[in-house]
Amino acid sequence: MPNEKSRRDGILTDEETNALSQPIPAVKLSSYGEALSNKTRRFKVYFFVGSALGALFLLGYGLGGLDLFIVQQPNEASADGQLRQLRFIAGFVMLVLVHTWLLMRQPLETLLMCFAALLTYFMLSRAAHFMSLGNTGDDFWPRVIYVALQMTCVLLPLLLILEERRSLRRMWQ
Amino acid sequence: MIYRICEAAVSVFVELAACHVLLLHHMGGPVLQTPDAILLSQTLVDYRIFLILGFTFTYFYLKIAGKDVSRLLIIACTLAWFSFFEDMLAMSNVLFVPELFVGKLAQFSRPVFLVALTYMAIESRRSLAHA
Repeated sequence: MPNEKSRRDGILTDEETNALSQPIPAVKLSSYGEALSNKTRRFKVYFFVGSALGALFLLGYGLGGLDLFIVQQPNEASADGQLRQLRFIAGFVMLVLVHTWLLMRQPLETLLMCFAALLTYFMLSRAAHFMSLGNTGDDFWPRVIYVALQMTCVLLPLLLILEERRSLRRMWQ
Repeated sequence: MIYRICEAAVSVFVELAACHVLLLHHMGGPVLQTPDAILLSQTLVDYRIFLILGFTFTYFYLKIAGKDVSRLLIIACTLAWFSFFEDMLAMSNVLFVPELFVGKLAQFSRPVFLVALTYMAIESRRSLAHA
């Protein structure tokens, strides 16, 4: 038994040396099936609904479909357009980060909390901005729909946090 | 010790920011340079101060109650950095009010505040992991 002998002597075998000399990948991504295997059914539903909504929102913004909701006022600040662009990029980064974190099988709770806080900040600032512009008749309902859509985007990470906790509890049981 | 210094730096910034907003309201529109600034100051500065004060009071409540502050600090840190980038990239020429001394102090102490808050978030996370 050379292995037993070498273990006794505290010397590594060739197999162990080879195994140790193998490069360790810095980032190891699993498949969606593996990453979602220990999650609850609701988590999966919320995750796919959230991803689809996020992707649609970004696609809508990219194609200019959201201009129907955010009609640029003649007196509206030029900086507001830049602000919207920045938030669009932030939304895209958030979507990518959630997927990457999930595939890296990292705990999602803190990340989702940060994103929920950021999305709440976006929603509140947009609502405050609409309020400061005043009631302009035709734009009222599109603005309400826009804020309601953003509210859905805030709710989804919160629901995901609840389901993430439930998934962890189930895993520990 | 460093954590306490960071707490002090964050507290100073919160006080400066609150004073700055109160002064802006007291002095009104003419202090601000452009029409853009008037519109954006109404929508951004006002509720941001509520956000800052809300986080500060929650932090002290959690500290006194002996609860975990790491998550709150991470969320506050994310929002602080994002609003900083927002101001730097999108509104660099809009919100700067050079006439007000308190405003100047708040602007210049902002990077210190960000670094201090980041340190606090990392340190609280580390101490939670060791606990």
